[in-house]
Amino acid sequence: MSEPWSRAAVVGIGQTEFSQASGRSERRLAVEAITAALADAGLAPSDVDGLVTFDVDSNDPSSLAATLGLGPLTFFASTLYGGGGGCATITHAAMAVATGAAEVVVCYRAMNERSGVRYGQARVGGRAIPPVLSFSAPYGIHTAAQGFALNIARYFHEHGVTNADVAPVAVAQRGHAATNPAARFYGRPITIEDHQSSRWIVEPVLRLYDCCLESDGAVAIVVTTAERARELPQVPVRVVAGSQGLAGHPMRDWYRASICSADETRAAGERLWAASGLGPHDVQVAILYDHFVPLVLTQLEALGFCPPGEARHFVADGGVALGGRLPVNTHGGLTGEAYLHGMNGIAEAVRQLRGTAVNQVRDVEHALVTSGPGVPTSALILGRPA
Amino acid sequence: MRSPVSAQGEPDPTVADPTADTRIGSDLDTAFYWDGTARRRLLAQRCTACERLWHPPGPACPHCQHLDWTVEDLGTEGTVGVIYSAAKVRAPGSPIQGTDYLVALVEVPDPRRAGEAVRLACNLRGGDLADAVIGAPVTLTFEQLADGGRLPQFRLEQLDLEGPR
Repeated sequence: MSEPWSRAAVVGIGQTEFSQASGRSERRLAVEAITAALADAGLAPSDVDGLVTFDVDSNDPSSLAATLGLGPLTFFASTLYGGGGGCATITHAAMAVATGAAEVVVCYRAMNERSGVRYGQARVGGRAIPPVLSFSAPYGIHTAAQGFALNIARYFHEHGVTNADVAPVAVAQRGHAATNPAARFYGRPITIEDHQSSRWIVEPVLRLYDCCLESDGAVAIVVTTAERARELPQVPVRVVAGSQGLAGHPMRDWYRASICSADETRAAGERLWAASGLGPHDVQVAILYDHFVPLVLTQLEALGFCPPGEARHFVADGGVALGGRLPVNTHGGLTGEAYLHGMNGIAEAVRQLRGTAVNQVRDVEHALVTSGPGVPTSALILGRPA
Repeated sequence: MRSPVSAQGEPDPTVADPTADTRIGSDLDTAFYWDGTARRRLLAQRCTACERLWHPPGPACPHCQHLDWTVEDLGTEGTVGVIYSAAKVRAPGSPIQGTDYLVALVEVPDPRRAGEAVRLACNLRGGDLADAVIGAPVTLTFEQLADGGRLPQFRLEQLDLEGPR
């Protein structure tokens, strides 16, 4: 492992409930998650000297620092490209504590994405379509589902995949959610038949149960130095490696030679493997961003868990369920627990490494986490204490 | 026609909204393209260095970063393209296209360089998803926009007019 990466650890996680309508402001949600994460870490707000969030979060570091009475801060940043930036918040924080730019950095995401502005709905009007979107929006390609559908349809065509082939992933994740009390689909597993009879969102690639669960809520994660982590109450989770991946902007960049592999995830993954000296066989649990279930398949291929076009076999017969060859999204994922832009998945990876997950995988040494493919993305490997 | 706003006052995205502002936005890099479509011509940039086409419009050749280009006329009504990918948006839909519309990527061949093509996002008209087979030929058409411009689109070719449908 490259030496600077050994200097950072995740020491606290906190979250609100996940719901359809929080009834509280996004700032209030952020405060609740951050104070919960700091309490989990055994740290006080006065210990915090860094904040990292998503560029799309309504709570910029300055307004949140004022709300919480934090400061002075010596490091603050936001990550780009919406759901592609989740793992990157941890990487930014890890780099900050490794270099001494800060010592205690809180990463957070708070959103009323279901009761407020929904990403799953077209937003048009009030002004002309921006020039860069004028090659897609006039055709009714507004949302992520509508944009990714063209990539997924081509993937299905090139590899002989059908929507039925992705059903086992959705079913596995709803199974994980069904036993997770924090999940919005707690107690509500589905069958292959349920999946295949759910209505089309974009035919023939995305059914309702292939799409993430737009949600209200917040998640916060505390990163500090390995030295400081030793004094704190939780089992420290090592940030083994972090990276980002940019290979076009697939949601509206359909002009490359191939449009159906998760090239951004491949770029991030190859850097992770190189930086850590690890490979797919060293990972016992994976949190793969499932805004749309078919993209779990392309990520498995891009990360080297199986060859291109082979993921439908990898996921069949419980392959990504608890007890399968690679348990994926053991919290239920964005389709079963909640769509919190993937920050809830990072918290799940931390629980898996602490040994406190409700759907605990045995003997987890390393967890791989990805952020959204289909936009410039990011990824992480977290590990048990050395 | 149903209202684009629900009884609760929320936008109903399943209904095409006649008040939505659907004017095409253009800038210094893309204006030539929309000027072309307004005249029913499909244009693309050709790099003067590597001679390859690129789309969507932009200030530099994505193949070799060269800044100088000429305009290639790829055709007009009836020009043939090939479906590269296609799907049908069911719901939620679009304030512009409504629901149950076909979206696609179509490749239009480079008239000067065999085997090369530019790829465009579009809607497919004149058929349903079963007709929108990847690899099938489609023909270019232009739809009038409220602001006087035109939007390039493609029509499904009904090749087996004699056969059962």
